[in-house]
Amino acid sequence: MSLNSILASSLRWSSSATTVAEADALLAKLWASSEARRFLVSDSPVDATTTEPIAVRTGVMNLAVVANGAERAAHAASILATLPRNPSRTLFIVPRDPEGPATFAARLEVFCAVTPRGDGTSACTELLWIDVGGPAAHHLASIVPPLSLHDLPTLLWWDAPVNAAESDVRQLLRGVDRVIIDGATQPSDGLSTVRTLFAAAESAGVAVTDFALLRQGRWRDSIATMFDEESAAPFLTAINKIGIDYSGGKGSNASVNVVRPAYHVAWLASRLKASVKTPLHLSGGAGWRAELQDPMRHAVAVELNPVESVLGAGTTTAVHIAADRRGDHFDLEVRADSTSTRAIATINGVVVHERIFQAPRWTEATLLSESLEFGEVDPLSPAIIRTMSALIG
Amino acid sequence: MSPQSPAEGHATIRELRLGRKTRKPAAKRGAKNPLRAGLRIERVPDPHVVVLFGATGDLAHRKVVPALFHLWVGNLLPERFALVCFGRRPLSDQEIRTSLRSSLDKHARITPVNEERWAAFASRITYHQGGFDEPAAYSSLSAKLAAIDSESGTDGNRLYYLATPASSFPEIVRSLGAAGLDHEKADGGWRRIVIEKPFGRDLETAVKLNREVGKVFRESQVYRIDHYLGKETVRNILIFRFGNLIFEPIWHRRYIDHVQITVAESIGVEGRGAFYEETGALRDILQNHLLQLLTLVAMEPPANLEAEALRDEKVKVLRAIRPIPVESVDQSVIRGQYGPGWVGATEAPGYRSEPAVDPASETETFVAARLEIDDWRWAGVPFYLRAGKRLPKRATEIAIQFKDVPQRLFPTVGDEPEPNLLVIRIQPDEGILMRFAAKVPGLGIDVRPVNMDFAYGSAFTVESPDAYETLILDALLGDASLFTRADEVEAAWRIVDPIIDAWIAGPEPEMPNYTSGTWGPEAADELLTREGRRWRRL
Repeated sequence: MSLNSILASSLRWSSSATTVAEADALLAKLWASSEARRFLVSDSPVDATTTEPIAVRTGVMNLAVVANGAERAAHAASILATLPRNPSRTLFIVPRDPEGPATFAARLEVFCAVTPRGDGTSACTELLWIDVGGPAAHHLASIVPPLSLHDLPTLLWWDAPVNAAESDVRQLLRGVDRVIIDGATQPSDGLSTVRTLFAAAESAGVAVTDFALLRQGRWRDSIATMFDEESAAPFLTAINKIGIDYSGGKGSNASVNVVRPAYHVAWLASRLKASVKTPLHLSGGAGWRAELQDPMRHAVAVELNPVESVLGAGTTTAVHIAADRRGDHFDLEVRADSTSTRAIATINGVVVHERIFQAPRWTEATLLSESLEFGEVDPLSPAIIRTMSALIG
Repeated sequence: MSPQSPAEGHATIRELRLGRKTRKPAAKRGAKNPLRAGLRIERVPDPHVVVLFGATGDLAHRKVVPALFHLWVGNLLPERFALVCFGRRPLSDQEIRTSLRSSLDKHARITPVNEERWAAFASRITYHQGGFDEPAAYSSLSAKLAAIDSESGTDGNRLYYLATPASSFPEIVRSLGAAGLDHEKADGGWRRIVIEKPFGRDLETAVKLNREVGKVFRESQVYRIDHYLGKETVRNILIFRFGNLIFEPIWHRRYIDHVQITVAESIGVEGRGAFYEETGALRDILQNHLLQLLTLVAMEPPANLEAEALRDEKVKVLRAIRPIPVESVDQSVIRGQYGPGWVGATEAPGYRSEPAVDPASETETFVAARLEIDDWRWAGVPFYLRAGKRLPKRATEIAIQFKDVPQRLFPTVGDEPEPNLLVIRIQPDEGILMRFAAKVPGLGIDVRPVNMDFAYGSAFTVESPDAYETLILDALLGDASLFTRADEVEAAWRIVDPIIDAWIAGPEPEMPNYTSGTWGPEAADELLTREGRRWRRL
């Protein structure tokens, strides 16, 4: 049930609180008894007089969104509104004025919509808009756990530059099941920021979902499919070079965020069980270089090459994979535009497979939907993130 | 030369080492590709052409084309895809596109229809006019497909989808064979055929149809579709049973008293009187949907998730169902036909008053059966199946009724004990409910049954695909796990055949024998009450 349909709902309730305890108590009271749930107001006066509402809270997850300002929080809410279904409780937290006095202000809203089961049951979702200021803004770990629903997974969407070296962030990570970030929007080359976060997450035992990694799903699908071909499959164990072209932007190499191109390498290395021999390092004006070692101890050269492009800096423009086996040379080149990817495989210069995949670039809504869908289990990220940490060095 | 000689085809170690010969049959393409691990989208099918027979019909417009369009919108079809609509009526490409587009407004799962995506999809649709028995139509189809392969790069891969009346299946299959459209090796592309139910009218016709299909297509090319198997909740039965540790140990005659499987519809025949007259609830629902659900509940864990392993286990269940002797069918199977009544505050006519229905029709619109499975796990556990039209509500579910505790320590609220119950709701409000006893709050120790309720709609953030989307994608990927094998179809007919024989040989039934808007004939209730049980109130 989407938030859009819930917002046009049959039952709603709102209140406000000035302390975490008060917010928690108000919501707990609402669900404590059917008597209390009569405070859920029906939009339709007829319904209100003829039927007693049966309202239940959905059992999906908690989502805490740490937003860089009210506008970003509203933006996050607008993305959530487009998703097919929603978390049971969402906390939109806007930390502000860290130097001012400690403040806490929460607006609480509950929206319910009738489920299709036919017995009049309404499924409810809760939104908490929280402004937190002064020293309290540095203690979000004291806000999220007490306001999270018990026994549901809690996801933290850090929709802002993240500094995982801060003790509050590290402590907050200990209270959630998954943290969602966008490595592609982190400052500078992005590598050191994500590495710090990965280390903090590992220490806290929390899973990481990175939009930057998810975005590349269409590339991964295309590359994997090309190696399904019988003639290409044997070259998978003989790869000796991985080259990623990315938009170089206008700044220096060091100032362009290369998290996205690096993830391609991390994915391939993790799947092929290759280890990192030499981590990523700048190679003058020629981009980034690294070296992997495959399970047979053969060297795999890695190049991240900046190219001129109209795309945003750090965006992947092409993936090249080369392999040599029994005197034959294999090349795979994958490129993408806004709606599709195109892959061409050649053996000794002769095209053996060419495929176009319908694969539009993912929107923020798709990325968030995927992140929420992973819930507690993400079959893809952990191995890639481990390899990425090693690749960053 | 000895029969074991390498020269006769057995690979030597050297040949195996050098890859000149393989020791085992080739694995499914991509099965061992390590890059596949963890990817959300398993695989996009190879470039291909879908040839849709019966493209102007109801099934094509309501289910097949909307499913293909949703796969397209979800980027689960390759760019090099074409849809050839084969039909008898004279239509242009543009006319079939317009007609299909109009149907999408009514039947698309995701609305409004994305016009940009539709335009790209529609550009891949063409119409091919011809009779199903006209050789010339297949020759020209062959030429057309070759031209599409050449122009669109569809690599000779073809899925023939038979969305036609069952009576047309044999002639279409024969004609495809006669035109050489079944050959997989001619140009390297795969050829698969999807056949809709009903697959035969009885065992004899099913065997004959299997034989006809088998003359042209290998079993591995044939995908017999039962859309129930593509439903998310039905697929979840396997996950529920074999992906959790806690249920399988009690999934046994020691703990289970009986099983009820219900497919209830509130609608009538909805203008399909002529079809229903020839079919009836036994053939339309019990022989396929109900028995398929039963096999998933009763099967042993398969060795793996390969299509053959799964289907082997399902066939074992069907073969273990105790045959009902013709002379005692009326003790184990109840049929009914709805008379006039009220359903959902609307007056409903009786079956015999429906258009295209014989006013003296004996066709059953309701069937209930008591089956037993003769194996170690299920011996003595009755499986009650029921399906009907014009019942009070639409509901499909599997209810596993557990036995009562051996000694009741606590007083229960109400007269009768309520042993544990597990309900798998297939539609609507898909989910799983577990009922157990809990203490009523208060100073006493009264016990009352309470529900632990899992609902797909509130637990997951994605919408379930339509069953046809799941099944068509599987067929395009060459995964037959959710399709019915020839021996499975025949085993199901072996269970149903004696019932048909008994009804043919028996006296004229008293029909109609239930009022629209009720739960079927009283005799269906007696099927359980005489054993001290009762149907669940849905």
